[in-house]
Amino acid sequence: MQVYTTDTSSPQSGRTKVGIADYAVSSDQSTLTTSGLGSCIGVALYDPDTCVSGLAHAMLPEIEPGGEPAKFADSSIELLLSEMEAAGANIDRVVAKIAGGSTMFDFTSANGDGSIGDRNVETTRETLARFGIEIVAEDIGGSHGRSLELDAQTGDLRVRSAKTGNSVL
Amino acid sequence: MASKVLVVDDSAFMRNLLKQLLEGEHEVVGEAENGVEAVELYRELDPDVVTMDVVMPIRNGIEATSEIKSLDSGASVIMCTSVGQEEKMREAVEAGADGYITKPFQKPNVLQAIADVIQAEA
Amino acid sequence: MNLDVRSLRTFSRLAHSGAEKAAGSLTTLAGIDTYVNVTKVELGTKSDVETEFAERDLVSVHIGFNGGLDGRTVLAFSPESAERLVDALMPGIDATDADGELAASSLKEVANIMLGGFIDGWADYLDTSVDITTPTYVEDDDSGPLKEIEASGFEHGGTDEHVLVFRNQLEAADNAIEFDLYMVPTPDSIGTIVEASGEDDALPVESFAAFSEMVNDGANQASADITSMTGIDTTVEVSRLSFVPIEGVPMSLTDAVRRGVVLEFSGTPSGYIAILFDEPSAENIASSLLPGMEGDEAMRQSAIQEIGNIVTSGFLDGWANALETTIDISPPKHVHDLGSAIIDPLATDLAQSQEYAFLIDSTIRTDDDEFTCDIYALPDETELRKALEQLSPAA
Repeated sequence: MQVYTTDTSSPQSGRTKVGIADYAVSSDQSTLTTSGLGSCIGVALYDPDTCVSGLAHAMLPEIEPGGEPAKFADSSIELLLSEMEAAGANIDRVVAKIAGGSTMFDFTSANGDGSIGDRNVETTRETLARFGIEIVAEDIGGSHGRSLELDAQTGDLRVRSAKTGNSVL
Repeated sequence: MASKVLVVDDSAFMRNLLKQLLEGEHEVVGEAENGVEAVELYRELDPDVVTMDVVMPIRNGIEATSEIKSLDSGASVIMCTSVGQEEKMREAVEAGADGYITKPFQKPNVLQAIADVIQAEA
Repeated sequence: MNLDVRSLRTFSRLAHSGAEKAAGSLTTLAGIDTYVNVTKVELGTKSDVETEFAERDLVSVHIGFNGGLDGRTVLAFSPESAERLVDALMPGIDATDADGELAASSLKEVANIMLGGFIDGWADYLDTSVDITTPTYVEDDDSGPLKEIEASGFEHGGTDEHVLVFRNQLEAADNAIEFDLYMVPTPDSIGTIVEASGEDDALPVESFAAFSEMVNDGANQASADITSMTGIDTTVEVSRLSFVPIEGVPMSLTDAVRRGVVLEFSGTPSGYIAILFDEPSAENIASSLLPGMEGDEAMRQSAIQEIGNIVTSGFLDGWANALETTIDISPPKHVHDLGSAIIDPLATDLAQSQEYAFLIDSTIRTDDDEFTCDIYALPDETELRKALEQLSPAA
């Protein structure tokens, strides 16, 4: 028996919401958004020629065995790049904009390696460098939260903050 | 009879509230924001009664209470805290606290607690 | 009935993938992007569930399921969200549909398709078949979802009986439409699912019940403390214990700006607590604590910190006493930021050692909406488990 199912996964409108420990690729110039970055890191990747773009929202720096890849900065960047390539992006042209990685509280549990926010930024830089991807703009650190909107037509990354207002990277 | 009160609380709001509440009844002679300041001011001002918060930065109220008690075994310290855990109250008693008021408090309770410790001392 | 963390994880995954399927159905059906924000496994009593429905003015569609698994699913909307969804499904229809029959039938159909997709995954996992009943449309109902269930032969004990509720928060069309997909299995069916996930060091459900009782008591104490400080009557609107994927914790909040305090607690268990107000609520509560001192911002901040302190103690002291231990609370840190970003570092810190979290969230509200206070407590999973073991009847 043939079963006919409807593909219910493709977005219909011009905006795709990226959750936490989540990433998404846009190849139809739709906008990618993610909210509530505290110590988490937001990585926006963009190929200016094809307008294929991607946005990842990672919680922790480096993946551990058995970890969910979208949760970690290094593995989520790798995943995002491979999906963008599949969608027609050329890695040699892709540039990055990063935001987030703040240190909002100094918890007693923080160990000597620095805050999670700082470590997220560091791992993101290392991973992007490993793929030869240039960071063309960034809004990182501090002690405030951010929400992001990546315009896949222009590569503009709009950053909203309760403390510093809105800005465009 | 009006007593000299040292108010110890890291919250400016709480110190203010206690001052308002004690106005006309007792004299607030000093305010401290943490346990270290509390001990210093105790030495300096020699108050009749100390109202002591428990959770404070730098040094907490239980530690400050034992230090004040070791300086002056006759000191009167009333814990004035939002923490209502039985085990914490035992710790406060061991540190030498003379009374324990939980926040949010009401004026009559605070005045009664002060009257009781003054009475006990007399 | 016993429950353990591994079966809770299985439940959570099943519910989440079912909800994603349901969201996909709506995306296709209505042409509006639909996302699953959070999937929570809520551990509460029957009366908790009833209260939640009674407090919120909801339009809902109920569908029962039976066979390999028995219980009820509910799709619940605020009236505004229901209206927007009907409009997306059938633009311009409501003007001619005076008694709302068409609107009701379109919502029933949406529920049918979404809930059918939701249940499929559970049936597949259990390798069984599950039938669903025809949908019932319920508007302005104050009888609660469980009455319906009982009417359909769902046997429940008293209002204190413990139930598991799978709650999925969904949103569509850029937050314009928000709704919840609930699944309430019968206790026997929960037993069936627990067995299928095959864990043997499970905790009796009574210890979760005892803990969620403590959570309720804590919320009531916190509410009484706020009333005593401000002189304004407050009630606990919601108070629940749920099991959530760690990344779902910040996602339960929007990025609207919130003000309040964050505190760290340590002991058995340790963890984080956040007491958050929306901005108008923060203003109103500061004004009620400091009449005539509108200009003094530092004092207002101090007042909010102090209320955070007192609410936290009200919340945690009962736990410490019941567990015969002490829980140390850090001084409150004032926060004023995007709601989800405030919770993000707390969840992230725990994410280093756990994939799922027990989330306690309570809402305290004044009757006249003068202010609303949300409390989020996030205990360390392993330590909470130890605490729950202590609450076990056998211990």
